[in-house]
Amino acid sequence: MAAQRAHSEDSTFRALADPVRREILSFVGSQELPTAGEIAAHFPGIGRTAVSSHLRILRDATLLAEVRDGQRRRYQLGPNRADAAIDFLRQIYAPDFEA
Amino acid sequence: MRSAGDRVSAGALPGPSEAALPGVTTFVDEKVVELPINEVFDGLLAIGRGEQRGSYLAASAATAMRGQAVRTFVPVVKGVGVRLEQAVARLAEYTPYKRLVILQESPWESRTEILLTALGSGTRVSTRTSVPVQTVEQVADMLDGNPRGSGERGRSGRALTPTRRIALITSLSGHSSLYGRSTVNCAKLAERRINAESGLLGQPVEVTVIDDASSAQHGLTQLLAADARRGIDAAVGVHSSAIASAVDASGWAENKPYFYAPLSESTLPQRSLIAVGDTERDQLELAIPYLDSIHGAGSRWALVGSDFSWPRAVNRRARQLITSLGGEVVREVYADPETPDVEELAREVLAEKPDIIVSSLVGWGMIGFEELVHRAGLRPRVSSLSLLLDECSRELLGEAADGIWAATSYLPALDTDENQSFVGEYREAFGELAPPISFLGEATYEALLLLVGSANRAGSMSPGAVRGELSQAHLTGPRGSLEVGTDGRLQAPMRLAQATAHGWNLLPAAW
Repeated sequence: MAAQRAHSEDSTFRALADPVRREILSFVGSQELPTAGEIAAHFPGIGRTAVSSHLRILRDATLLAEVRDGQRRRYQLGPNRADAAIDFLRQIYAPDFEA
Repeated sequence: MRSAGDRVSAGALPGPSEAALPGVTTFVDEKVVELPINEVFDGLLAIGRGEQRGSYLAASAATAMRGQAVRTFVPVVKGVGVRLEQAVARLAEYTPYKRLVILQESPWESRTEILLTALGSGTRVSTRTSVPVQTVEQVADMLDGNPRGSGERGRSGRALTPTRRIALITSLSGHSSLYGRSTVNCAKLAERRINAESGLLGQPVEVTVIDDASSAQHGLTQLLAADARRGIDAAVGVHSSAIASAVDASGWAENKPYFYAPLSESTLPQRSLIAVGDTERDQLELAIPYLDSIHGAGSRWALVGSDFSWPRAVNRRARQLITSLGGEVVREVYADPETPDVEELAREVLAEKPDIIVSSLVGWGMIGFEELVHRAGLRPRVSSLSLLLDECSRELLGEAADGIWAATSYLPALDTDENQSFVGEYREAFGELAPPISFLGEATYEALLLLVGSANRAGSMSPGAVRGELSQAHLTGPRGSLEVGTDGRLQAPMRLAQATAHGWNLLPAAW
């Protein structure tokens, strides 16, 4: 249980630490279920493979969810935004005297 | 070292301010630290120091006293990445070397109880932090970077009856965050009063809080996003004039009324914005002749401000007034509002040996600067006038505020019947440990009433029609019975007051 939570906290913060991933989250939040292709097209400076890798990290952190639409994969925020918020708050309110 | 964390549901917490918080999530944690209990305690609560500490739980305060405002550092996600920011909290309970209870006020609300127990040569640190559901929603919105306006909205995403949404755009994070919670609380009181009366065009009002993060771009983006996703009918802004100018230029306020509540420069562009607060002219025309009379002709003045439009307008007018009285402006300096180098600022200003300092520094920059002037022991010799010194910043400064002059039309100590019932209602709603009422909070309350009253008389939400009704407006609020002047602003009598470590000395109204 504790190990699982530690993993979840790590993955949330790792996902949020990267500026491109923050921008991807922001973009997905502003669109109606964009496809991976539409997300990649919004970040022309980054290769499709790199975008896919960012999407996987965001999915692992449950910050993004995949929605199947026939052959296409669409993305939405979540599913568990509250959990991400709770993980964030837990990191703050767990005292760390060694820091 | 061992560590355990868990999330449990908790019911209502004791204390009036916590009892008002529905749906609480609690974080429980326990650690054993190989340090003696006094060192751990002193690391958690530093008295008289404002520096960043090792732990997010650590706070610093001017004095260790129940109800004292304290400073903490909180990580805030902004644009890209996480940034550590100063934030305001309050000491709810204090038992030396044993127990602390800290209520966070900005950027979000939380309650942390810290219990210390000696364990051999070390210390067991048990903490329990409770956050209301609004905090979880606020942080979730912050993390997804595309908020719909959150923080204080009701639990149901969609109201059962049609509701008019008024956005409150204010600073809960960033350099001006120290007034934010007081502003939000006052807006809630106004919402309650409006709904107890006739509502807005016959419908109930819901105030949607938007944190502008003390940034023009962020504030405007948040307003547009909230409007797109939830629908905003009108807005009240309580933020810097930099944000006001961005809103005015955006054209948003051409379609929906946007009342700008705080004090602002008389020259503020108002293409579509409706500014109703006091002006720098009101403050300076009262304060500068008075300070001149203390120091006598030929006195040396230093002007210090944050670098945006309002402080520059303040200093233009201050310079005119000082010169007309035969004084000399020996220095005029500006600091980046976001990252002010207050030590450099104080060095530059104090090197000129001024008799009087006029400060239009905002937020944490103002706090840092005044602390340095206090620490330099200059208060008895140098008069300071700080145009944004309100009850929230005075409390944070503690002894460092002693002697600073303010020119203001509102203090919680104002002796009107209306104000006494306003303060009573505020304390009843938010408890004795809620932040004090800032003049910015009071201005928020009045601006909301003025907006709704004008729209109701106009029978319309059109900004033109609402503005047209303003000249006829009479408002009875905490500052008494007020009218709107030819400049479109509420006309409230300005008072001079000198801060002490624990309150204010209010000068007779003749000044």
